[in-house]
Order: sequence, then structure tokens, then C-alpha cells
Amino acid sequence: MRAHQRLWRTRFGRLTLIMGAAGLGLLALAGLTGVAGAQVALPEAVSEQGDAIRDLFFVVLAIGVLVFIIVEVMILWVVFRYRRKSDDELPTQVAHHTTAEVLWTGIPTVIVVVLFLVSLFVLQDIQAAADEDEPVVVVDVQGRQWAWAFNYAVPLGTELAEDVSNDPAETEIQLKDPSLVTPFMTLKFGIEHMRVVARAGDVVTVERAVNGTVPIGHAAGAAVMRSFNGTDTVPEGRMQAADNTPVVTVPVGTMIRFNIASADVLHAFYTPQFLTKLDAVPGRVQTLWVRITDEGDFKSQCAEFCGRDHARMIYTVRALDPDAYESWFEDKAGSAPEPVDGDFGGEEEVEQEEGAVGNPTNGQNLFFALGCNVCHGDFGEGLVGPTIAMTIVPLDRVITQYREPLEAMTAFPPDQVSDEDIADIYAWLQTVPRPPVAAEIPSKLAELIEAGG
Amino acid sequence: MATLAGAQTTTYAGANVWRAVLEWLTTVDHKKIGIMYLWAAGAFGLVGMAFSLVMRTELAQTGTIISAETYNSIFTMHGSVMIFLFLLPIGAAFMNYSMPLQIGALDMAFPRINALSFWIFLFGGALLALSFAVEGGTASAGWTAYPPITLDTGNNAEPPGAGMDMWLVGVILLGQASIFGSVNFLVTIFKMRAPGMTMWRLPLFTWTTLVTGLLILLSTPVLAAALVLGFIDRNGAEGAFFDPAAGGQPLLWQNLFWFYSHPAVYIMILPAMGIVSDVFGVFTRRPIFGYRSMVLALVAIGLLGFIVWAHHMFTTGGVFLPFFMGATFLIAVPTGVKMFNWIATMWRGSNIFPTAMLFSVGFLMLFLIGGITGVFHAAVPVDFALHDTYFVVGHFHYTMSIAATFGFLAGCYYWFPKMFGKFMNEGLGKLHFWLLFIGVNLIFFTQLLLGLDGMPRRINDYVANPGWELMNMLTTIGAFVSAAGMMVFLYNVFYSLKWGERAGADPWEGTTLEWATTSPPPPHNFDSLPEIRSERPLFDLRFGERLQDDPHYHVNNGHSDPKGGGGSQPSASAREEG
Repeated sequence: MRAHQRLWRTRFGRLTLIMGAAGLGLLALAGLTGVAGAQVALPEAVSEQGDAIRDLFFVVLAIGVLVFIIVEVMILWVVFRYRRKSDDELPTQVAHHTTAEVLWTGIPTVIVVVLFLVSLFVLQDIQAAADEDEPVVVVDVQGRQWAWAFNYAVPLGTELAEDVSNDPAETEIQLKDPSLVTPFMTLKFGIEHMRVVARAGDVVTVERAVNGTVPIGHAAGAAVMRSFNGTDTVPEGRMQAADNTPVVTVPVGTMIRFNIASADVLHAFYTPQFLTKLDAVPGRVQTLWVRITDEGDFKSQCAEFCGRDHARMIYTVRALDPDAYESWFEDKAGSAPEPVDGDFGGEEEVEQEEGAVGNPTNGQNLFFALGCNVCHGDFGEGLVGPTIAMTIVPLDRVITQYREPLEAMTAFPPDQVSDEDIADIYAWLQTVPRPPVAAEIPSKLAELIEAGG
Repeated sequence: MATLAGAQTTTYAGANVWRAVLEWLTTVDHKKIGIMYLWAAGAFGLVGMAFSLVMRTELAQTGTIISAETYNSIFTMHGSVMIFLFLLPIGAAFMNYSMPLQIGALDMAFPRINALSFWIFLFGGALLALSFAVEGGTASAGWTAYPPITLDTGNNAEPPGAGMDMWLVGVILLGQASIFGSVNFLVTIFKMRAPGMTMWRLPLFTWTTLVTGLLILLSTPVLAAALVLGFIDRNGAEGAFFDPAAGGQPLLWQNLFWFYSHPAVYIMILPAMGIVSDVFGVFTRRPIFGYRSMVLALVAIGLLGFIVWAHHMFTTGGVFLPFFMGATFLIAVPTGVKMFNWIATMWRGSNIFPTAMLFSVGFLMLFLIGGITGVFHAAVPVDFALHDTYFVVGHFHYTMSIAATFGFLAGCYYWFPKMFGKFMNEGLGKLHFWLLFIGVNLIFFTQLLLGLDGMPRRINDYVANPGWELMNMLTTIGAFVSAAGMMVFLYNVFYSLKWGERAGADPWEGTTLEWATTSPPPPHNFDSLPEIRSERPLFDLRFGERLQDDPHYHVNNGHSDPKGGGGSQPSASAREEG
């Protein structure tokens, strides 16, 4: 008689064999996953909140694995141990056992209550906002089909002269010092973004809700921020059609407040190494607090299905040390349009380039309606796509690019954009002032930190 | 009942094919309707599986074979078909076929509504299928169809076409079929039970039918409301409900949708639980351990199922997290009770393992994984990490797809002899079991691991993150192994229909009333009924004598006197407890 058959004859021996077989099965599975390079735990977190989540995960995992092994062994045990030996065999008809039933109701109850409490503490921990006197970096995240924009703000140095209503149709606002605004500058009041389209005297005309944020009232005296698009791009992490993926740059060690919004449909801000995600819901602005602990580039991806190119909504979180972040920030903030003196009159007074055909006002509208700004930036200054402001490419070549695009651009058939439309956009692009060269400006970081949060 | 014996006719013997077709098209017999549900749902299930193979082929390598649009359409229809056209109606198939037999009823309470329910279901399914033919193709917003991507809001880059409307209307119809069915199940169980069949003597499958019926009745109208609002949003009101640009609330849809779709998870899994309970009862020769606690656990799961819907929305930022986390954790308790009761039923049992029993044991082993991975999602912070990754995909496939499917396959092998008078082939059955068991674990365990690594769902190509290729390839291999298993099953069905070994009235030594009549049963179901003194009337008949002296053997399960005196006045108690 072979050893395993001998072992099978005693109850303890059978249990040993079953446990052994189950153990071997688990080992084989572990080996298989090891070979396949699989992760058997959440990835290492690069944020304080992520570390807390990962710790909780291991608590749940430990309990889960324990319960899994115990119950699967029980199942295998009853399957292998209790077999019908003869046709007229009749087993015990016991159908109740109070102690056992109390135990297998009570123990799971205790486990889930403990898990609930532990999870609740971790939840409060990871959702906690920054302390009131703590410096905060604020990034306005905007998801749209199928790209990301990351906006930052610096104080403009003026305040609202009177209240602003909730009505999105209400587009005239009064600033205490309107001379600080320039055409196409994006202003930020609280969480609301507005694009300056004209100024006549003291009255500034804006386009509201340009970043998918909902209009909300603002009281006179509130600080006005100048918002700029801080989205960089990286060539790596490319998908089949996107040449570059957007980068959001943030410092390590400082509390970061991501204000997450959507311009169109649902998206989700998901950086796997933060071990957390938050949906971008149109009509809402949601807050995600993160304190990053490690420098590096962290690949990220939209996690809520958002249509055809959902798979292409990739972005990178670039965490820099605070000094590097500050110099990056100053560089970016400085390259945004500078204040100019005097009135500018909006669309009708925009100077047309010599020889430009087409209607630049219509062109500007089309530029945003078609979503060109998603890739080329609100001033055509270039984001994921190249800079096209004041392009020197001839119009007929531009039309060809619309119809049969080189590189990653979406094709626009004539029934969507006519040649005349393209000429209009072309005309508008010729009027857009190129962003000024990064001027040396004093560090606005301290002011920003004060105003943020 | 015996007076009806003379009415038995041989309806299957009609030589005229057209008469037979007409007979099936116009039948109001719950058994025929159940079998039609079975064929229809089975066919849709194979279609859904074919979709999954397309997806797995696409995901097996980097780069794309099909376009993103096609992929989005396919995964949307995979989910919609599997849930609305396979898992829900296949439960209805067994509930239609077996429940009236189990309670000793002639038919359903409303046979015509029963037929109407089936034909509405088929029409709704046809509408979803036809949406492949319209311009713009099928709905492609996922089976959850979260607005605003389903709407033409002006901001949505590619608003869906008529396929989306067909999806909405189709699912409204499917929901209506469900509601008709649920009313029928409930009234039948409450009013049509045979003398002696008290509520506490109902077989557990009938209990699951009852609780499932309640869940359907209370939750499906909410889904219907959401679908109608969505339809109005798309066709007239211009976003008054779900379009934020017009003052609507996208999260409102999610609340309404999950208020149905979370209970729907239980609508799919509970009948499977009922089937394996009955199967365990038969093949162990043991009473179901803790029968009453099983029923209470069932009811508890049903009730808790109504207050956990928002755990699908933890990352939306619009949910009161602690409440839904607590309620979700609590579901683990009654689920655990059921699990331990099943194991205790096999404990010291006289167990045999035909294919139906194998699938039931497989159900336990896989449902356990589904349950444990559910706890990860209940812990909200961990869910923040895992939501919308393949961990979720693995989790819900382990529970409602794989565990439920194993339960329904157990039901196929178990009731096939009753339905068609022939056994399914056991050898092919075991081959089917092992292929499927290995295949699904290969698919979904690797998906759990991919999810931990942060691989998001609903993405057609993962060029961005190398390192997942091998695991994705394993998953795809698993999908094809499972599909091979299902082909074996399909072959087995047709093989057994033609050449299967003949089965008598009670081939498994069954315990419940459906085995007290011929296989297949006559149109009026029973010529005569045995005395019903417990939830196992046929077991009492077969072994009652021999167990006279066993102090644990109760023939009056459920009555106050534990020694078993008062269970023999069947007719008095039948109507009272309804």
C-alpha cells in the first residue's frame, strides 16, 4: 500500500492530504502569476493617502485569504471525506447545531464590524482637507473627450467691483482694475473660469463656464485669479494615435488640491499609484486631496468610460521637488499673456491681417466648437498638438490637413467644416497674439499659496 | 388532483409539425414557456459569450484588430445581452418550469400573462439584436449607459444614434416582462400551493423564487422610470433629467439605475442559490442544514440588497459613504450563513457527485471568491483604488456571472431528465465541468490580479502600460477554454435529446414534488400528490419508515412541536400561511 493511500485512511491523514493539495494549488497559482509578472497586491503608493489605503488593503487581504483558505478547505474536506458507500446508506438527519450557527453568524459579524470601523477611520484620514494654515497647491483638472487640461492660477492683483450673478448669460463683469486683463486671458473666480473676450471702458466681457465649471455667484471684493494652462506634454506613454500625453506638474510634500471637473461627459481622474480615483462629473467640481511623497512620473488614465477614444485619455502626473516645481511654475506663469494698457474692443475691433480672407469672429467660435483648443490650446499656442497661432503654413495646405490629417489629428470632412469655415479659423489664428516670451516676474508662489485652498 | 388524471393527453405526439409549432407559439403551459425561456436565454448566452471572445481576441495582444467603436459596441452588448437576455431570463426559465411543480400547482396563477411575459421578453431581445442593423450601430455606452454620454447634449463629441433608443426601449420591454413574471410567481406561490405545502415547507428553490419575485417587483419599476426619463431626454425634453448643461443631474441616473441593478445582482444569483440548495438536498440525502436560517438569510440578502445600491458609485463624489459601506459589509453575514449551511449539509452526508452536484460544489468554490473580493469593494478606501479596474470585472464575474451560471448549469443537468425524460450524458458533463472550471478561473483570477495592478476597464488597447500582455494572453486562453467547455455542453444537450439514456419519473431519488410526476410531466402536472409533511415529501415517502427512530428526523419541519406529531393535517394549513 502506498504512503498516500495509508494516509488517506485516517481522518487526520485525509485532512493533511487535502490541505497539502490546496497548498500546492495555491503555490502553483502563485508561481504562475509570478511567471506572468502579475501583481498580487496594490502597487506601491506614492502618496500619504495611498499608503493608508494600501495598509487597509493588506488588512482586508489578510482576512480574505484566511477566510478563503478555511472555507475552501472545508468544502474540499466534505467533498472528499463524505462519500456514499452503499446505495441504501442513510446519513444523519441533523439539520441544526445552535453553537455552530451562532459561531458562523457571530464571527463574520464581528469581522465586518471591525472592518467597517477601520475603513471608516482610513476614509476620514484620506479625505481630510489640508489644515487651514497649511500651504496648498491648487490644480484645476478638466477632463474632456478625449484629453485632459490642468489649469493653475496666480493672483491678478485686482478684485471684483460688484457681485457676479449665477446666470451663465450674464457675461459682463466689473473689476476694480480692468486694465490688468488682456484678450483671451482666462480669469478664475473661486472655482469658476471665464475667458475674457472684450473690454470696453471698465466693463469686461467674458465667456463663462469655459472649463466645465458651473457658474456660481461671486461677491464683490473677491480676489480675481489669472488662470493659465499648465499642461505639458511628454512623448512617452503614447497610444496608437496620440503623439503626446498631457502632464500635470505638482510638488512633493505639499498638500495638493485637485479640483476635478468635466466639460462634457463622465471621466475619472485615476493615477494608479495614488491608489485612488475620483469621477469628473459635468456640472460638479469635486475635490481630491493628495500629498505626494515620491518624485517621479506616474502614468495615469481616465477610468470612467467616456466614448470612442476613452483608451487614449492618458496623462502623466509629474511630481517634482519643491524647488524644481517653483521654477517650473514661474516659468509657466510668466509665459502667459502679460497685462496690456488701454482698451481693446473685442471681436469687431480685432485687427485683420493683410490679405486674410474669412471672418475671424466666426473662426474663433468654430475653433472652440470643434474642440481644436483641446489639442492646440486656447490661443493656438500648442498643447498636445503643435503651435498654430499665426501659422505660416499656407491655407490650402491647412485645408488638406483638415481633410487628410498627418500625424494624430482627427479628420474633419467637408460636411462638418467647409473650406470657408477653415478660412475663418485660419483668419482668426492670424490675429492671435503669440504668447510673449517668458518675462522675469517676481515669484507669485507665496501669494498663490495664500490664496489657494 | 386525482380527478384530473383522465385529462392527460399526449401533446408531444402530434405528427403535424405545423400543429406542433402552433402549439408552442400559443401555449400557456408553464413548462413549455419555461423551456422556451431556456432555449431563448441559452441562445442569447451563447451570443454574449461570442462577444466576449471577440473582446478577448482584441485584448490578447497590443495593437488593435477591431476599431474602438466596434469594441465599445461589443462590450456594451456583451453586458446587456448577458444580464438582460441571459442571466435574468434563464432564472425565469427555471422558476417557470420548476416552481409550480415544486409546490404541487396545476400551472402558474396567470398562465396567459406568463405567455405574454415570454413574448415581450423575446420582442425586447429582438429589438436589442436589431440595433446592430441601424445606422450608428448598437448602443455603445456600456450596459450601465451612464449619461451624458448617452445624450446629445451639444458637448458630447459623438452622441449615439438610434441604437441607443432601441436599447432603452428594449430594456423597458425586458423589464416589463420581468414585472409580469414576478407578479405571477408571487401569486402562484401565495395562492396555488398544494394542500399541506405550508410556507415553511417550500423547497428552497421556491423560496428563492419568492424573494426574487419580490425584488423584481419592487426594483424593476425604478429602472423603467430611469429608462423612460432617458428616452425623454433623448427625444424631446432636451436634457431636463440627466443633462447637466440643461439643469439635469447625471448622478440621478446612476442612483435610479443601481436602485434596480444592485437588487438585479441578487435576482440573478438567488435562483442559482435555490438550485444548488435543492441539488445538495438530493445528492447528500441530508436535510438542508438550517432550513429556516437559509430562508431568513435569503430575505436578509433581499432587504439589504435595497440599501446598498450606491456602493457602485463610491467614486462619484455624490454618495454618503459610511452608510453604504456599512450596509454593504453587512451583506457578508447572511451570505456567510448560507455558505456554511451548504457545507454543513454535505457534512457527514451520503454524498454522490453527478454533474449537477459538481456544478453545485463549483458554485460554492467560485461564489466564495466572488464574496471575498466583494469585501475589498465594500471597504470604501480600497474601492477607491479598485473601482473601474479589472478587479471589479473579476469580482462581479465570479459572483453573478460565473457562480450564477454554475448554479444554472447545475439546474440544467438536474432538471433535464424531468423536462425531456432523458439523462444528459455524464461523461460529457464532467468534461464540460472541468473545462469550464479551469477556464473561468484562468479568465477571472488573472483579471483580479490585473485589476490590482490598476488596469482600467472598458479599454480596447493597453499600449500605455507594458507588463500586462502575458496576463491578458492567459485570460484570453481561459476564455477559449471556457468556450470549448460550453461547446461540449451544447453538443451534450443535442446528443442527450436524441440518444440520452431514458429517465424515469424520479431518476435522482429527488426530495421535492416535481419528482412525484412523470418525466416529462403531463400538461396538468400531477395525477396525484403524495402527502406533504415536510419540505422533502418524496424523501419522507422513500426513507421515512427507516428513519422513524432517528431523533433528528422531522417530518413536520417548521412546526412548533419538534418531535413531529402535527404535520399530517395538510389541507388545513395550506391556505392559512399564505
